[in-house]
Amino acid sequence: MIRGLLQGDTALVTGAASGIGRGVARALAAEGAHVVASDVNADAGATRAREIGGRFITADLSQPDAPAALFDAAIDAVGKPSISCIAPRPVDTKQRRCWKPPRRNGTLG
Amino acid sequence: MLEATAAQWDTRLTINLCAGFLLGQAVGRHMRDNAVRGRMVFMTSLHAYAPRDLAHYSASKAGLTMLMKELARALGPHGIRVNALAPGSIPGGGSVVDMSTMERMIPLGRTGTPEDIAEMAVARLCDRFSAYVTRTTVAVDGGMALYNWLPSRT
Repeated sequence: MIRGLLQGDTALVTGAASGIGRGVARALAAEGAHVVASDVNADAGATRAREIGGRFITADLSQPDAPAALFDAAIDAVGKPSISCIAPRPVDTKQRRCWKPPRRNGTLG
Repeated sequence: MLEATAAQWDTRLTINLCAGFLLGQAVGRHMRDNAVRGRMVFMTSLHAYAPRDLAHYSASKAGLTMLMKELARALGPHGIRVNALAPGSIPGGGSVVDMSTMERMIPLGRTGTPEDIAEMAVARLCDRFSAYVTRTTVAVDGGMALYNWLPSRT
């Protein structure tokens, strides 16, 4: 369904292969934005970008030079982005294990 | 917290904060220089405000919140709006959630979906709804941050 709220916009979305980033990329495309999707996961990212008619750029943002390279590639690909959405993944599997939910009445904010 | 390593800290800060800084700065400059009335949204976290026993993660999100405000201040005069969303518990992507524990603690009675976040992103990015909104964080969490240690009076 195209509502067209973002018709004419070009959006750069990071973390776009899965989860929130993917959801945002889909929603922006559904509103008519031209989406440039990026993720460290090249296979899933490229597939997801194809699904919404967007471009895909692989970027491993744990590498210091990657943000500049991603920006340059995005400019080359689409010219002038008018929207950016920075959506890094939550936490990696190993780090997630550091945290256990409190048993009862935990503060989860 | 006490087990987090320097390597974990560096990696998380690089991905969550440094990349956001470098991309936000580059995109912001580009928008300014090309007179694009752009909009940005950053995904932060409820843990920008409340600790989670993951110091590197929570600190990176707190930093990202301030980065969002700095960008909003610097870019506002150029007609560029910058906001953040603080998702609650959203299974999917890299997030795995113990549903039985979580859903009891979320006033709206369910965990969130990527679509819940995405619709708010559209609203914040869209001038029709948010033309006069910059430097805000919207918690999209089903009310989860209302939960605290005080026992309910039931």
